[in-house]
Amino acid sequence: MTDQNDSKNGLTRRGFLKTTGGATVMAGMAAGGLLLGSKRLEAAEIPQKWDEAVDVVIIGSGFAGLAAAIEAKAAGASVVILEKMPTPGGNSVINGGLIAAAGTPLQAKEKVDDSPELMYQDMVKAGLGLNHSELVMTMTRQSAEAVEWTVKLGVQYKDRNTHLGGHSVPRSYYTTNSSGAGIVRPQLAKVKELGVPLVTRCFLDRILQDGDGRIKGVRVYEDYRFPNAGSGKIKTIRANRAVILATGGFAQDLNFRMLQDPKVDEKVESTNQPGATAEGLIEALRLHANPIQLSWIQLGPWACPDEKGMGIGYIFAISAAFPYGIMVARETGQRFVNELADRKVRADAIIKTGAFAVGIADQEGVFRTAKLDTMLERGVVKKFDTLDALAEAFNIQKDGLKKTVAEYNAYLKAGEDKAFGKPFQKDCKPIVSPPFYGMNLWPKAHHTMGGIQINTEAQVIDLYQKPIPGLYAAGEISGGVHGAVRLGSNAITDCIVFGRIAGKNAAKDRPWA
Amino acid sequence: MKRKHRILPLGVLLGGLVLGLIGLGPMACSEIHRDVEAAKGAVQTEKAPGETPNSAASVRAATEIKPHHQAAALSCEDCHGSGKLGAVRTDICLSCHGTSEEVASSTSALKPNPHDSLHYGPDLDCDLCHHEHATSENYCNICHEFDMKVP
Repeated sequence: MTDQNDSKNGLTRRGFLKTTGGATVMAGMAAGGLLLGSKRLEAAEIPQKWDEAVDVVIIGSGFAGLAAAIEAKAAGASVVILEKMPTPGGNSVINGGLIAAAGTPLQAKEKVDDSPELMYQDMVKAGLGLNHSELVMTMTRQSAEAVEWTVKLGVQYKDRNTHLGGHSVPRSYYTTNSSGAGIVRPQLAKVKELGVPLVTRCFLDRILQDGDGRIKGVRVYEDYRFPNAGSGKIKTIRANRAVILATGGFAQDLNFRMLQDPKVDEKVESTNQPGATAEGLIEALRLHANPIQLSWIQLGPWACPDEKGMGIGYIFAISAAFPYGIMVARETGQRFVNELADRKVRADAIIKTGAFAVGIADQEGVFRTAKLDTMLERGVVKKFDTLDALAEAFNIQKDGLKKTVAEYNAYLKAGEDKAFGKPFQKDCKPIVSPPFYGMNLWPKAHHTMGGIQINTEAQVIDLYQKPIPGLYAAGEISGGVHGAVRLGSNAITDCIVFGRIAGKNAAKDRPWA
Repeated sequence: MKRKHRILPLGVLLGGLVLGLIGLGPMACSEIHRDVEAAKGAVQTEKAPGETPNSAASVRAATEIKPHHQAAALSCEDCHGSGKLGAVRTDICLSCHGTSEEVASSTSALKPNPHDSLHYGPDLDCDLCHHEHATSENYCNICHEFDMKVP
């Protein structure tokens, strides 16, 4: 790499940004990477002298990146974690804190009969069979161990399983603070204890690949100011053994996601942090990493349109309205979908009604809902003495709602949801006890199932089906695990399982001379 | 370095002074001040049609500091050091304000406590919210809607 090359690239990027203007900065970054980086880096661009050297360079500091860092360091490698945002934890630290696993101690305690095979079947069913089966098997077989690994890090979970949509049995652990931060922060503490540096505001500009295909290091912008492409200072880091991509998904990358699915346009909000953009993925594609199913973008059906981003209203939806209550269309007052169907089925059904749907639960239904007071305080969830008052406030067809609730209560008594086949919880009660709670529901872009191809060793696979030497990936940047639809609480499992695999393997990759 | 110096007034015009300053080489405060004065002139003569002179106010703010920092008689060097001018690191802030845990406990009455977040604990960088030469903001409000005064 020469100075000339450096400044040329830098200037081109800045020039590109100038012409596109501030409003499209993020889109510019995505497209810029794609258009300007189409050539394979020449051997000459591998620097003679690197600014720094380390065994394993990890890009991204979410669940996957941190899991990889802990394992790589434990295996004896020197490690650095690079994070483009000014805060560690990526999207994981604002995640909902649910992790699915089959064959766990909590399931044993609650006498839930589960197995990796059953979890596999649930995933492939929701995933419409698009899942790469060997990746699914790897994830489900190592899921219980992943939970145990987090417990050893000091993660605290509620003492009950949570049953989320699309899972045939309750199998989700839920952090006590109802947030992914409950896992990320113990991971960060471990990383600190191990002495692994985590550099924030450090943007991956280039993965440096030699003429023979070997990944040799990265070029980054230090002191980068998101989302200003080209901000900061260029620096090269030699990766003696490997580079691990754990850069997450692209649900906040409006331009890139609309290229994959034009329906997920600017009118669709996202639950993700602003940094959930596609630059890392695009850089991998530039190196001929094989793209898998990029157009499957998941919308969260539990999202509340009356608050920003992920918010907290989803807790009411997943802990009360969906398992212990109902979701109705305003115009008819009727249910229109199994409230515990997979996310795609539910999100599509809500959008089809053409208006915000309303999630409803009674006092008995909210007994496991964390943060209910805060939701009421913020007006995200509203409380009423009667169903009529609720119907009036949400502008729901009153008689339709009454009839729906009566029908639902009868199905519950009979033990079978004859309308939509919702699996009733053992502790489900009829909706009769005031006060009644209601919340608006409208889907938001949440997870990008597609990504680059990896194998069960977390190696990145190129277009010609060969591993790219020295390049690993884990978590949302990879594709194939979830197929068309990711089940709730499977993201953390995916990140921890493949993050750990990537870290272990990267640490034992042979150093290049 | 020279090139960036030259384009600074343009950055000021765009209202991005704080960001524009990042990455500047060693410059005396007086040099910055001269640039700022020049930019003020530029604002008055070159402002786009319909543009309010608001940017002039933010320019003025560039060399001003907050009242409590004024009261402490802080100079530019006290925070920025004598070398390269740029964003002030959190450890510099904490050299006066105490440890991040102490800062967190000083605001423990606030709900939620902005210095002890569920997601990040007490470890966020000060400059994510607190700006000295521009209007402060609430970083939490990227996702949340907390009603808080940020000094």
